[in-house]
Amino acid sequence: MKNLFIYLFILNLNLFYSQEYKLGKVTIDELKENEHKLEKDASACKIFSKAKTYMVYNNDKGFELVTEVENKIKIYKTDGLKFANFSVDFYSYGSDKEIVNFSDAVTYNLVAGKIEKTKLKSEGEFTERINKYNQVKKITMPNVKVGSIVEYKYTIKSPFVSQVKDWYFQDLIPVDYSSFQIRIPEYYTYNSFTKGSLNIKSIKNTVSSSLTINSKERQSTSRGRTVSTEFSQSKVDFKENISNFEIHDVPSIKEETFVKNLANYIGGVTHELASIQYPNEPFKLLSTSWEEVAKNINLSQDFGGELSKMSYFEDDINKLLVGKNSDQEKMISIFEFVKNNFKWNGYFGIYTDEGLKNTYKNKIGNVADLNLLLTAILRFSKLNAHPVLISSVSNGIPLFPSRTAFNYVLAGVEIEGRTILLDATDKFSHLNILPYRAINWRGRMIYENGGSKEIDLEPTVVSKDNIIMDYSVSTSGSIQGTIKRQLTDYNAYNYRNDYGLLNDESVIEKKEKSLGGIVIDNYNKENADNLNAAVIESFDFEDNKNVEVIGDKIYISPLLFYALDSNPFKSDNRTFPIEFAYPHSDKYIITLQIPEGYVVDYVPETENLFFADKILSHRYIVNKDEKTLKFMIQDDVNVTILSSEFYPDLKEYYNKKWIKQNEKIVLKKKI
Amino acid sequence: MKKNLILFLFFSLLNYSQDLKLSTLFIPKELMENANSVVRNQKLEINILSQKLMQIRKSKIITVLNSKGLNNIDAVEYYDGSTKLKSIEAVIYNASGAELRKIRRKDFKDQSVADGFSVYNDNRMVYLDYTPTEYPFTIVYNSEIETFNTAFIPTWYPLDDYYESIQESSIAIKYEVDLGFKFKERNFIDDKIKRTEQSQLLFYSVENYPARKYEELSPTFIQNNPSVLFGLNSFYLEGYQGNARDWNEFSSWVYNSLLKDTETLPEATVAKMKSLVGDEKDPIKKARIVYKFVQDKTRYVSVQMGIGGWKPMLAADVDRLGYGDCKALSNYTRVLLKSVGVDSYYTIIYGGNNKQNILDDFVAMQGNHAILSIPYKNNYIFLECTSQTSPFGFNGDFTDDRYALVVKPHGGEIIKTNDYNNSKSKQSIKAFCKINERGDLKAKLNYKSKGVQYEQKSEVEIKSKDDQELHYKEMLSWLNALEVNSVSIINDKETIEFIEDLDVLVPSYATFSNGLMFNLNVFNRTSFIPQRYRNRLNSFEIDTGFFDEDEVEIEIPNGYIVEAKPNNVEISDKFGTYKMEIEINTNRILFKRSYLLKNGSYPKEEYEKFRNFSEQISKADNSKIIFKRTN
Repeated sequence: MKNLFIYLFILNLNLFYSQEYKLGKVTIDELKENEHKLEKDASACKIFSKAKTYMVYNNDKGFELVTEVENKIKIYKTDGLKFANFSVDFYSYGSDKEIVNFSDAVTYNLVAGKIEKTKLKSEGEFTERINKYNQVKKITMPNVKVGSIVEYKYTIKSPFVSQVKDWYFQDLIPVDYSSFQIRIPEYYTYNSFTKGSLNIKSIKNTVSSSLTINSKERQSTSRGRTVSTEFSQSKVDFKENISNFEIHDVPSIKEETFVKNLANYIGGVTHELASIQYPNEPFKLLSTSWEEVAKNINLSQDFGGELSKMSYFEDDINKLLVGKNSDQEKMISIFEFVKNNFKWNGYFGIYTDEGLKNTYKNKIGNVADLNLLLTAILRFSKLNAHPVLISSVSNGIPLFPSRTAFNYVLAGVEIEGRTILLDATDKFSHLNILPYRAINWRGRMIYENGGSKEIDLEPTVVSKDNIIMDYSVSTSGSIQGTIKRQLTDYNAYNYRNDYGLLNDESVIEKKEKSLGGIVIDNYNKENADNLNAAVIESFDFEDNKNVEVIGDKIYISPLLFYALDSNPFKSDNRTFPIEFAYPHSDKYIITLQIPEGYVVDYVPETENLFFADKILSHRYIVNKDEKTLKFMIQDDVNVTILSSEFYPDLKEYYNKKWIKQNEKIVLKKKI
Repeated sequence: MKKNLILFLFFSLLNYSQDLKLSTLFIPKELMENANSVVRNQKLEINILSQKLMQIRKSKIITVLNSKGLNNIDAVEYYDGSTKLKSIEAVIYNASGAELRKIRRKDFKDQSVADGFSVYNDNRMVYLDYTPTEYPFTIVYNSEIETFNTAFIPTWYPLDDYYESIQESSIAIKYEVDLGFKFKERNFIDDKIKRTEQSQLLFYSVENYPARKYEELSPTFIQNNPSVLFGLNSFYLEGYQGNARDWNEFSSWVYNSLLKDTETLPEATVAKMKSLVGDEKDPIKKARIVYKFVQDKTRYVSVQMGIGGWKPMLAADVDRLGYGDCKALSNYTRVLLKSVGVDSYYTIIYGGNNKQNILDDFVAMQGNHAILSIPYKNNYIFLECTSQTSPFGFNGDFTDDRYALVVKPHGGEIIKTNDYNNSKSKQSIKAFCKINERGDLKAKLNYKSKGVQYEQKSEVEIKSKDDQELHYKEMLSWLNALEVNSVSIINDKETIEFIEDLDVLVPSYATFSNGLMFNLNVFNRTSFIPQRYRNRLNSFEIDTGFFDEDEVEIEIPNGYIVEAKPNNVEISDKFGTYKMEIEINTNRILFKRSYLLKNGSYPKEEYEKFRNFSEQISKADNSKIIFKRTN
C-alpha cells in the first residue's frame, strides 16, 4: 500500500504596505523631477524599494521561501543609466534550485507632456550560468534616458529555508523609502539583526492563518496498479509571525579610506533560522549562542571528526620533532613544516574538503584542510592546540551567532599562558601574524569537549620600524648617506610580502622607485626568510631631490624621503570608523653631518604631538653640536579602530604631523 | 623530397614524441634567467579544410618556475554555437619529469564568459584551474577545436609575454588552395624565426629565446614582438560567406552582409528626424542634431551573441530599446543620418589607450570597436556613439591617432583618425594668489583643458560636490590642508574645452622660519621620474604627450625683499621642452611655466637621457623663493 499526499497551500496575504508605494503609479511630477530633493548630486534614486519574504508549502520539498522585491528607480543623470540594468544571483544544489522571475518591468518617460510606458520584453531578459551552482538573471530595461523612471518586480523562490536573503535598506544612491516584511509560520523561528547605523522602525505582530490540505489516498495492488483513489480535505490552523521594517529617506552610502569592508556598514537586516518545531515532532534548536554554534560545528565529521585521526602523519612528525624539546620549538617547526609542504588552493571554508588524510597525501587544500591539519599535528605533538573559527574580512563582521557566520578557521595554541594564532595558508604568516584577510574582529576557539572561548583577532603587538639614518649634504645639493633598518611583526610581514620573493636587483629597483627616485647601493637584507627574527636591511643612498640649495642656504627636512608627503585624511567629513591595520611604532634616529663651511641658520624645535590620550603620538627631539644635527623622531599608532567622532581631531593631528615632518633645517654658508 | 620533409614535419605534430625531456634539468641556463616560465615546446597546428571548416590543435609543454609563471600556462579554450571543443587535456610532471597528475576534460572548469559588461553572452570558456603543490613543474597541454568560422585565424605570437623563455615553438598551417590564403609577418626583429613554405603548407619555428624583463615605460609586449597574421580571401562567418581580396571587396562584404539589412527605421522616427533637422541644410549641423538625439536616447550595453559579436543589431531594435553596443549605436546613428540625407560610414577600429592600427596591407577581419565617420572637407569627423556625454566630433584617446577601416557600400578605405598629440592636449592655468602675514595662500585659479586633457578632466563634472573637492585635494596633494571654497565648471562642448574656476585656501603655505619661503610653482608640480635601471634592456615609449602652460601671479605682504631666487630654467630635448621664468615687481611675483612632453618611441640608449630630463623638470618644479624682511 502506498500513500501519496498532495498538499495545496493557500495563504491569505493581506498587504501591509500603504497605498503610495505601489508599482504602476508613476506621476508626471515624478517624471519632471530633475534632481533629488536631498542629494542634489545623486545620479539616480530609489523612490521605493521593498521586499517581503514568506513561506509556501510544496508537496515534494516542504516549506519553501518566497521573496518578492519591488523597485522603483528615478534616473537623474547619464551616470545613473546603469541602474536601468539589474541582475539577481541565484543558486542551485543538486535537485534543489532557486527560481527567479521578473515581472511588471516598465520604463516610464515623459513625452510631450504625456506618460509613455515601455514594457520589458523577453529580449531584455537573460539568464547566464556562472558555474555549477551559480546563475545570474539579468534585465536591461528598454527606452531608458535621463529623466526616466524604471520599475520592476522580481520573485525568488528558494528551497533553502535557512537562508533568508539579507535585505539592504541602503544603496549607492539615495533611497526615499525602503521596507522589508518577513512572515513565517509558527513552526519556524528566525532571529533578526539589523546592521549599519540607520534608525530602522520595526513592528512585530502575529496573525492567524489556515491552510487547506487536499490529500489523495490511492489504493494499489501489490504490483503497483491503482485500483481506487480517495480524496479528503482537512484544514490546518496555525499562527504566522510577521515582522515589518521600514525607513524613509536613507542617504546614499559612499566609500571612505581606512575602511576594511564597506559592507559592514551598509544598513540592512539579516535573518538566521534559530529553531524548527513541526507539529508532533520534537523541538529542533539550530542556533542560539556562539557556544552552541561552535559545539554544532565541532560535532561535524568534516571538522572535529577529522582532528582525532592521526595515523597518516605520525611517522613523519616523529622524525620532524627529533631533538625538539620545548613546546615553542615544536610549535614553530610544525608550523613551518605545514606551511612549506602544503599549498593553499585559494578557497575559504570551515570544513575539510576531501578530508585531512587526502590533504596530507595531495599536499593541497582549502583553509580548513590546511589549518585543521596543522591543529591535528600540533595536538598529536602534545601541544594544547585548537581550531579557531573566524569570519574573513570579505565575509564581514558576524552580527549574531550562526553557523554561516564563520567561513575561515585558524589554528590556536595555548602555550605558557598565551594564545598563539597560526595560519598555514600564507607563507609569511607567523606566530600571531595573520594575513590581512583573517584579521577581523573576533573568533571562537573550540575545545575538544565542544566548549569554546572568544578570541580577539585584532593585533595588539606593536609592530616596529626602527631606522637609523646617517647622512651628509654636499654644497651642490646632494645627500649621501647610509640607512640601517629593523622591521618587526606586521612591518616584517609586509616587507616579506613586498620584497621576499624578489632578487636583490629587483628589490633595489622597487625601493628606489618607492622612495621617490633615490639611488641605492650596497643593499643588504637579513632574515627575509627567517620568520623568527626581525627583518634587517641596510643600504647606502644618494638623494638629489630632498635638498635645496638657494643662494647661500641649504634647506632639508631631516626625514628626507620618509617624510609624510600628504595628509591621508582629506575629506571634511567622515561617516564610518577609521580602521588602522595594526598598532605600530616608527622610530627614526637621524644624524646629519653639517658640511664644511656651513653653520646652522635654523633648526626645527623639539615638539611632541599627542592625540586622544596618546593613542597616537608623534615625538620630535632635536640635538645639535658643532658638526652634527641629531634627531629622534617617533611616530606611534596604538589603536586599530577609531570612532568617526574623532575624525576632525584626527585630521588636524595629521596636519600638524605633516607640517612638523616637512619643516626645514636651514644651513647657511659661514661668512 | 623537400615536400616530403615538410609533410613529415607537419604530421609528426600529431603524435607527441615519447622521449620528450620533461625534466627541468634540460632547460638551458640562459633560458632560466628572468624567467617565471619556460615554454619547452609549443606546437600550433591549423588545418583549413574548407571555407567553412577549420581545425586548430594546440600542444604546449611549459615549465612553470614560480607562482608568477602560472599565468603563462594559457590552458584555456572558448566555444559557442559555431565552435566545438573536441578535446582538452593536460598532464602535470614534477621537476624530474615524473608524472604527478592527469587532468581530463571534466576536471577543467567550464564557465560562461561573463565579462562584467555584456548583458548577454553565449560564449563559454573551458580552462585549467590548477594549484601547484611544488615548483618548478611541467605541464603538457593538448587541445583541439573545430570551427565553422574562418574569418579569424589565430595570430601566431612565438613570444607572448615578459618573463617567459622559449625553448622551441612552431606553427604549421595547412590550407585549401582556392581559398586565397595569405599571411603577414610583423616585427621580425632578428633572424631567429625560420620559415618553411610549400604549396598549401606554411611552417614557422623558433628556438631559444631568453626571457625579457618588464621595465617602466616598456612598450606593450605583443605589439612590439614578432607575430604572423593569417587570413583567407574567401572566408566564412556565422552564416555569411565573405571575400577579402582587397579592402573594397571586404568593405562591400561588411556593408552588404552585416549592415544593409539593418537599416529599416519606423516611419515615426524618420519623421521625427526630419522635424528635428527642419530646414537645416548644412550636413554637419544636421549631424550635430542627430548625434545629440542619439546621446539623449540611448545607452551603451554590450550584447554579444553569435553573430552579434560582428553584426550590429537592427536599427529599429535600437530605436525601440534605446540601447546597444558600439556596433549597434554607430550603425543606428548612421541610419538616422541617412534618413536626413547625411552620408556617414561605419568604421572599424581598434579601441584602447594603446594605439593599435588596422593593418593596411593585410585585408582581413581586424579591429575590436566601431565608430562612425562623416566626410567633411576631404577628411572625416569621427563620432564615438557609445558615449552619452562626448562632444560632437571628439573621440578622445580611445580611438585617436590610428588607422581604421571606413566601410562604404561599394568599397572602403583605410584612413587615419585625428590625433590629440602634444600641444593639442593642452592645459593652461591662470592664477592670482595672495599670501598673507601668517603665510596663508589664497588663490583664484582657472584651468582650461583641451584634447586628451579635456577628456581626463571631464569626469570631474559628474562628481558630487564633496567628491569634486576631494578630487582637487588629491590632485594638489602637496598643498597640505587645502581648502576648496568654490568650484565652478564649464564643459564647453562646442569648442571642446573644459574650464574650471576654483577659489582655494592653503593655510601656512609660506613658512616664516627665518624670512619668508615658499614654492613658486603652486599648482602644477611633476614628481614623475622614471625608474632607474642599471642596465636598461627594453626600448621605451611615451604615449601620453601633453602641453601645459601656467601663469601664476603671487602677491606677498609689503616689507619684504628677495633674498634668494631660482634662476630661469629652459630645458629642450627631443622628449620635449620646459621653460620656467620669474618676474618680480616689488611684492608681486609672476611665475610662468610651460612644459611640452612629446609622444614618441625611443631606443633603450636614450632612457637615461629621458630620466635626466624628467629629473631636471621635477627639480625645477620644486624651486623655492626666499624673501627677507626689510628693516
